[in-house]
Amino acid sequence: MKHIEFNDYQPIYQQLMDHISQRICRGDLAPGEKLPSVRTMAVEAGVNPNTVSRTYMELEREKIVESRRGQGTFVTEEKQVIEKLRKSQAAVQADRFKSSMEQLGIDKETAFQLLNNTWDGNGGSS
Amino acid sequence: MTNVSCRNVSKKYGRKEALHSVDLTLPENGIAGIIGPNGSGKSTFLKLISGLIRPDSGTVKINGTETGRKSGSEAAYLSEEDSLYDFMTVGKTIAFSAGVYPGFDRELAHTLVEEMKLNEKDKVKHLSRGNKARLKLAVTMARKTPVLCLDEPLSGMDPLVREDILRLIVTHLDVEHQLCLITSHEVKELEPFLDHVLIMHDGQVVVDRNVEELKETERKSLIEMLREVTG
Amino acid sequence: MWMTLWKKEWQESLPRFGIVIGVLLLMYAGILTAAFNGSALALLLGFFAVGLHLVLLLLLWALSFHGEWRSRTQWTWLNIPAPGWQLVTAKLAAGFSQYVISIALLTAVGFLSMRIFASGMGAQFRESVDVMQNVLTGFFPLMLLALTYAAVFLGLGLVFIILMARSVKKIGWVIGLGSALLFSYVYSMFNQSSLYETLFHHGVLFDAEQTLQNVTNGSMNLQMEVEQGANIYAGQLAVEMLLAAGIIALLSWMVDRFVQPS
Repeated sequence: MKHIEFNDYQPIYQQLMDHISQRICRGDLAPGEKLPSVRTMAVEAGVNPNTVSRTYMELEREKIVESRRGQGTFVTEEKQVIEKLRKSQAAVQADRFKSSMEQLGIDKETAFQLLNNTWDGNGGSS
Repeated sequence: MTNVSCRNVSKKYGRKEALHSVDLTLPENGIAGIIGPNGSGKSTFLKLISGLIRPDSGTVKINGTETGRKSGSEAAYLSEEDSLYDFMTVGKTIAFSAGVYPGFDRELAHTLVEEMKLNEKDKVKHLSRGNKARLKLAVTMARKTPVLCLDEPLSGMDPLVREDILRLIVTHLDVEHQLCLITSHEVKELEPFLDHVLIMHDGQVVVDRNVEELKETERKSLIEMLREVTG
Repeated sequence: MWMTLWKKEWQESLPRFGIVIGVLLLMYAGILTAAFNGSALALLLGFFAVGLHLVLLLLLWALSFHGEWRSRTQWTWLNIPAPGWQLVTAKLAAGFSQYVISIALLTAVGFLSMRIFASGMGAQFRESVDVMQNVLTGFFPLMLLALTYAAVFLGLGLVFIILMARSVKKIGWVIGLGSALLFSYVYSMFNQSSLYETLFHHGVLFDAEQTLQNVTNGSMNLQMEVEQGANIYAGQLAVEMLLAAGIIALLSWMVDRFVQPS
């Protein structure tokens, strides 16, 4: 069992939400697919079952998953929701990128250039 | 749901004060970690809750009844020591437990032991340290008590055993109805499994909080918190 | 619950009981051989075997109670949600049943060796040996009861001291030993008092003088002063058993209220 590496400053349920969201966006968890049971997920992720319950609840509130009585929790089949999720996940990452660059004292133009280089496979780090 | 409350609980060993005026109500369910430096009173706290020792002053109650020698039906205590009977086999240990603990889930105990690849015919005496720990926990889990007091279940265990122990707790604890108290030095490893944390220092509970809430407001790991409050 | 505890105590104590029986069997082999050879060594070994039984219960019980701490299983033992009297009596009963088995063996060997001894004797001794055999047979209930009485109270006393040592840190065993000695002194005074006699010397179960006359057919002129204490009364038996029960209740109460596992 390979546990998720958690960071120290964010509540675990949020990190787990991000983790599951990413898997949904990647298609790792297909639309309509059943999520592991709370216990299985807890064992897989190496967290408390209550945390998983909370994660599933929050995901459901955001309509990313839906629970069917007595059957379990399923990834939504609504493509728009997943698309929206993908965008918001991307936005989060963009935000993070921006603040990291700012912390390094890199301006927007240089950052864009770096991003361009990385994207084209010219290597960002040297 | 279980209500465990401590009212002004103090306990001395000789002249040394192990607990000083602890006053709190534990969460009703879930997994609560009790962390703190050596000698901060973690183990004493667990022993008081499971009724194995008695406070010098104050009261410890489980669901309104003061804890004592017969609290074993409410609170299962897992000792840090090799507290299994050496002369029994793995199978006999389960049979004995089924005989003395009301509500013992014999089938679960057999399943757990099999899951962890223990041979029921092996004598406890001949088990490795890790396997003794596995058996001890399997028996404790199968008691199905409302409160579980696990005293240093991870300490001195290799990573494989620690993983097995944590997995067993996560898989078989009824987190909605049971309260599992765990003392540990392995704070980082334990952290993701906790609903609640008590940080102890010099016989007092200095932090008593929900872990997620603590992270949301403090944005720190438990180790950092521990360092801060115990200086 | 009690049956499980009793079974556990039996299994746990079986190896050491095995050793005790092994040692005794060696001794009995010696007794029987000596008796066969007409050696007085049989008598000496016999006394020694009886003496061992005086401390047998004490040994078995002490090892059983102390053993929980030695094997670090006191955490498990005291977390069992059975009332203290069940924990205590399971241990006492397991030890006592082993004592009974051992006593039965001793009795069998005793009478057997006496028969062997007697059959090897010349005619001139035959009569006195017969008388001795009759005396022993006649007084067997008294001896058995006295031995068991002493063994039980010595054993209970030591268990009390052990539990005191586990209840009060450091000086518990001193308090235990002191109060046990004081109690036995005071109780023995009471035992010999006329109050005790008037209260409990009722209902003769065993009449020592009568027994002596019976077994000697009045033919032997044994100028033996039979003391009052050599009789056994139902009232006395009842009160002593009540005392044992009281001590067991005390031990159970100590386990429930004062004994600490650490």
